[in-house]
Amino acid sequence: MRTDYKFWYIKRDDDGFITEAAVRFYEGDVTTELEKDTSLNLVPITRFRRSKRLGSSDVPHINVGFIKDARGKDAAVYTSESFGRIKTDEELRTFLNREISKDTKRVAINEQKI
Amino acid sequence: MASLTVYPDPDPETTSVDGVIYTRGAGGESWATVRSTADGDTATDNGATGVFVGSDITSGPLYGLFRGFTLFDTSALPDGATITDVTISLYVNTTYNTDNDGNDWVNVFQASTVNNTSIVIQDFDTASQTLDSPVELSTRRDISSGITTGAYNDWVLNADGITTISKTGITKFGWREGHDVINETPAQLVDETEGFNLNFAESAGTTTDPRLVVTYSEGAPKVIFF
Repeated sequence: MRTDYKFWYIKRDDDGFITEAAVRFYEGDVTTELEKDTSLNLVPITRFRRSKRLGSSDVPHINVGFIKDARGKDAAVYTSESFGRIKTDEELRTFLNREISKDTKRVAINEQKI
Repeated sequence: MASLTVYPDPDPETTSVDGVIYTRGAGGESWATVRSTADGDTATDNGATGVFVGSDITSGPLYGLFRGFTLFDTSALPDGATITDVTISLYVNTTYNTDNDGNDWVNVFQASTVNNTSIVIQDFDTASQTLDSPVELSTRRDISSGITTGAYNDWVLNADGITTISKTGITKFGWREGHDVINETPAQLVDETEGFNLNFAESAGTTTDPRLVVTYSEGAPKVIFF
């Protein structure tokens, strides 16, 4: 089983420092399924597909607060207390790649491996 | 100024979505009929990459249209925020530009999809508030000269666009190609497509997802008396 994260939102202050990031975690697998290509023909595409959005109880290795979105689904909220004084998305990804590597049940997708 | 950067949900969606609807006329159907149809033929909201916006013709002629959708959960904006700038960025993989006639451009509009977490064929005519002369929320980007492949391309919203940003829920955008917007039948020069292919939020990683950046000041604007 593989895992990845996606951003819901990233807040920055007046100086461009990231103050808060809401992150969603998923599990899934690399599978081959028929999808439409640019000519709208169905062709087999092999890629990571998410099967489940992970809630707070699914990711005990994530030690930050969670908020619920409008549909009651969990999103982890990271602040500068966790990631320090950073400005760029790339710095945030570097931090989150370390977070996701703590998952003992799932392997991070290649794009998010440390 | 503070900023909020927001991304659509990948599949399985919970509060927002991105995707595309395609429709193609049957043999003998006019451009006008295809363009004004209420429902599309195919709606896709779980693909990682694909044609997002465009018009095409194949021999017949058979006319086709792609209309794209990007929804953003902007509820994290403070209620008292005064929004000053908004930019939507799309990561374009490939452009299609057979007929470089000056009407081959893409712009963004206010959409009104049926749902917040799926794109359905009934959304085809909701990509903009009106079919003809819809309010354009940004500056048109010419497909041949104004789009860079392998990179993010920015649409900076105008005053009309800024007013569409929701501070309490989902902000919805639709995307249409120039011939579709101004109702000009594309010239058939062999099989022709005008538009582009992009990475959806479904794609792996976080470096190419559609992106919305809202710049704002918190609280009421200051009033200075002289």
